[in-house]
Amino acid sequence: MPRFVQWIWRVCAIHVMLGMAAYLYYLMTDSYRYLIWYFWIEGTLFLLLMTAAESFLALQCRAGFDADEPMRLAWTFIALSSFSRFAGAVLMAAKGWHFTWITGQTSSALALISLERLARIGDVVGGPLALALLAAGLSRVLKIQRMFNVLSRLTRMDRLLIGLIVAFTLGQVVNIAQYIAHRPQLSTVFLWLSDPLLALLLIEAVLIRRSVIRVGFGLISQCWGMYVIAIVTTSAGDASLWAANAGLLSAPMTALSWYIWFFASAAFASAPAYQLAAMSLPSAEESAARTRV
Amino acid sequence: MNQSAGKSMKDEGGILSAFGFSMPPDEAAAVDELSRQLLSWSHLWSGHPEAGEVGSKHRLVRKRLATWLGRCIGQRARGLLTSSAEDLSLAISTPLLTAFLGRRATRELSRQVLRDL
Repeated sequence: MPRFVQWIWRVCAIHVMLGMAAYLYYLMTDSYRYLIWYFWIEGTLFLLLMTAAESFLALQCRAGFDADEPMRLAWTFIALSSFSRFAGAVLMAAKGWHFTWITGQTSSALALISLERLARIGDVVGGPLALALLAAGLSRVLKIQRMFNVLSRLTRMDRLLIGLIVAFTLGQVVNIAQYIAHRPQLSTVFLWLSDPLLALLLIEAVLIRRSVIRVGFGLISQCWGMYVIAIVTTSAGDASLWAANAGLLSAPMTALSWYIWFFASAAFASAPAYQLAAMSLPSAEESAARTRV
Repeated sequence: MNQSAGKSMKDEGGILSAFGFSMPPDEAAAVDELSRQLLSWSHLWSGHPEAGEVGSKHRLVRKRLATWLGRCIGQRARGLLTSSAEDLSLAISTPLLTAFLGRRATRELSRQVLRDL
């Protein structure tokens, strides 16, 4: 496992262990005190760190390709998607921390309204916009994989899975069309796009998973494998939010489901780390050989 | 081109002398050695050994290349390029490696494969 990937998952493990302590405290006392503190402060810091690392690594991957290389455009979209996630995390953190620490101290109600608006923008930028950019980047990757015959034929199970995702998405589109008649806010309309975009990403994930199985677990295929994990965990997080809102999850299960987002962001950060490790491996070997001489 | 240059061309018969350059014997030997080496790398690159060439170098290149393909792309990546392990060469694997690793990393990888050969 590359050093950067090890670092990401070690930080994630320590972070989740601390979170589990807060969760155990909640289970024993029924008090949200430490859980709120953990998610609003440490959780936000973790998400900021991971999205910043992801952006930096994705930018490095993009720089590894020349302007005329097809993967350059794919990594441009992926890097933009990472920046969107980072910007979204910053905007939401600004709102969350402001309300936690400064509420009551601010003299301007306008400041709070602006922060509320910024948080809405953060939701859109870090949500549907980031997903759309990632979908564009991965579709480019799939096109290149198809050119090199890396994509293998889908199994019956894959087709069934894609069929289910398409059916679910069509259902969502019908719902969205009905809600649009009620003239919702523009940001709300954008947020509705999250589910169809996640469905598109899941379809791409199924195709990428097939290609990973076909070529075996090298650094590049592990990079795309990490995107599959990130997309699947993001979908699981999204589904748990829906289930919690629909009252299908108990309070302890709802609190537990919030941890999924940390794994998703660690997976998103690990993916470009694998690509970068593959790209720098030959020159790292060269340096090691020179040192030996 | 003067008369002495024409004589040199006739005597040495090399490409450089054809353009009016004459070289001391040790430099000519160095150029010969370099052109031999380039030809050898070209054969290693394409994976087609010339008659009488040592096969161990080709085997080593194939082994190194298979290892690099496995580490960077995936253990079964070789199967995408050729059905026979004997046909694996830098020439056929470079497009795949360049697409997924980039031109610069592939150049470095090729250097690693051809190291000390």
